[in-house]
Amino acid sequence: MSISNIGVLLGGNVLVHTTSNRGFTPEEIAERALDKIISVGSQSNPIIRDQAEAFRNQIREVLVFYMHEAVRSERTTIAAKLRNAGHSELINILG
Amino acid sequence: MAITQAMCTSFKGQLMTATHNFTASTGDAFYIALYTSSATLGATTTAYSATNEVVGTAYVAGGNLLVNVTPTTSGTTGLTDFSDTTWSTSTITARGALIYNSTSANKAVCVLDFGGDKTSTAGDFTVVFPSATAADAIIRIA
Repeated sequence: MSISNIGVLLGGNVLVHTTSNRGFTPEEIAERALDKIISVGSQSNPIIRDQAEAFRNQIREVLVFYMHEAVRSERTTIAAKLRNAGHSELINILG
Repeated sequence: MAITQAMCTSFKGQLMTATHNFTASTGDAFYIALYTSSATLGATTTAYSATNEVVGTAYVAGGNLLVNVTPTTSGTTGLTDFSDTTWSTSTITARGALIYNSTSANKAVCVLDFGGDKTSTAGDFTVVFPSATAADAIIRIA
């Protein structure tokens, strides 16, 4: 019979991302999402690693595209709220 | 005064008395509070304290409520995770953080050391948790 050591462990790196005078861009958020979806170990078989990287790049394009769509749609919603509140002049600064 | 990244020792003991429930939605409420470099936090921290907690725009004392990910297993490792959390439109400078259980008398779970002061200025301050894997998840029993 063998008895293994059991440890309560604190995990991998916790990262802090910050911005100044703006929010995160879709591209920046997409990278965070990609890290949750797929990770490629540096020691992986090169063929598998290449396939994983190609998959990661495809997923990145999809994420970025739809995040931009979400941003545009949210701006439409905000513009409608501003217009309904009688502040149409503020819509222009949304870009 | 220092912030030393650690799983709190009291938390390890409390795991054996079923003090914490990380189940998503129906489990306990876990918060993450931010601290300045003046704070003293580490393995001996037992509960949330407002001493040397961050004061800044869009930061409310006690920190952000975390979204739990229901514990699971991978191979021979048990693990749990939290969703990333953001203080939006904030002006904050923080050196570290404490995750604690507000459902259970604010008992400490773990201390995070950011490795240096992190600052947002009228922007977003986001804590990004590692992937929920056996190798990287924020809380693991292996």
